[in-house]
Amino acid sequence: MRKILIATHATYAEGIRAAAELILGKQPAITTICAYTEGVFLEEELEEYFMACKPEDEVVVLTDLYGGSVNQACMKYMERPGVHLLTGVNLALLLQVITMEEGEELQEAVKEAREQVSYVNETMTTMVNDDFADL
Amino acid sequence: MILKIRIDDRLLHGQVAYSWKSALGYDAIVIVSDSAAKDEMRKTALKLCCPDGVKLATRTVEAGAELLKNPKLKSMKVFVIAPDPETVCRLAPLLEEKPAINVGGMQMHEGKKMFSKAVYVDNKDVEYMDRLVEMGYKLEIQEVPATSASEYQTIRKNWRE
Repeated sequence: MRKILIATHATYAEGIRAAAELILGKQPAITTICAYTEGVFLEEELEEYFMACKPEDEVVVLTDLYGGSVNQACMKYMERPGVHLLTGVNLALLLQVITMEEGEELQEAVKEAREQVSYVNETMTTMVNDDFADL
Repeated sequence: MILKIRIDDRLLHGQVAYSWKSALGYDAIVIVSDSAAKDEMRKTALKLCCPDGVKLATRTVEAGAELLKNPKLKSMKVFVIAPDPETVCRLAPLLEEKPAINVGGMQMHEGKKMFSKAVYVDNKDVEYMDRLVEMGYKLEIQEVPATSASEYQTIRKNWRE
């Protein structure tokens, strides 16, 4: 099965999971690691998580910061078959990953989520708000 | 082809965009709301929520019905969203199709009572929904596809004004 691991600095992981669940309902396939919060030891938690994964599991790992220590720690597991590491997680990316169909490319999810990071004042000036204006 | 008509007073937002997109696979959204159709800022804000690759139009009841009868729309998978039962009651007789109606979100306002977790209604709303049932529409109360759906009439039977 496909599992999702969100590992971030402090409670961002828990917060973004709560936001996604508000929109899509409970997500039992998601596990979160809130690194550097009390009682959470990142390396140990990661080791424990991946030990419990079955070889046939597909794991999408989402971290918050490209150059951050959490992402670095997760890179160690990238060589495992079926492990995909994505960083710079925003809510759009998480929603894309949750709703992805079997066989859909993660590249596409990243592309679409990236487009959602936007300076709205500017995008609004060029936006067409009716796609059927010609009908 | 209209896949569903959703009643939601927030019209288009994250829940609709993501959860119903993956459940229904629609490729166009037609928002039918007299007030939103006349408000350019609102229309632009709604467009921001529209998933990639999905076409969107926000129209008044009359213009919306016309658009939905256009052959181009008939060949697409269309998700219709309206703010309240009253709007759907005016829209329904103008349509050539009879899709299922999803009562998704009606927020708490003064004078409204809880009908289900995400649906608050007053007597007028119930009257309009009853009228839709009389017209032969199937109404289901469901916030997102991941939550279970309840038949309107089942809740209606136990509902006290």
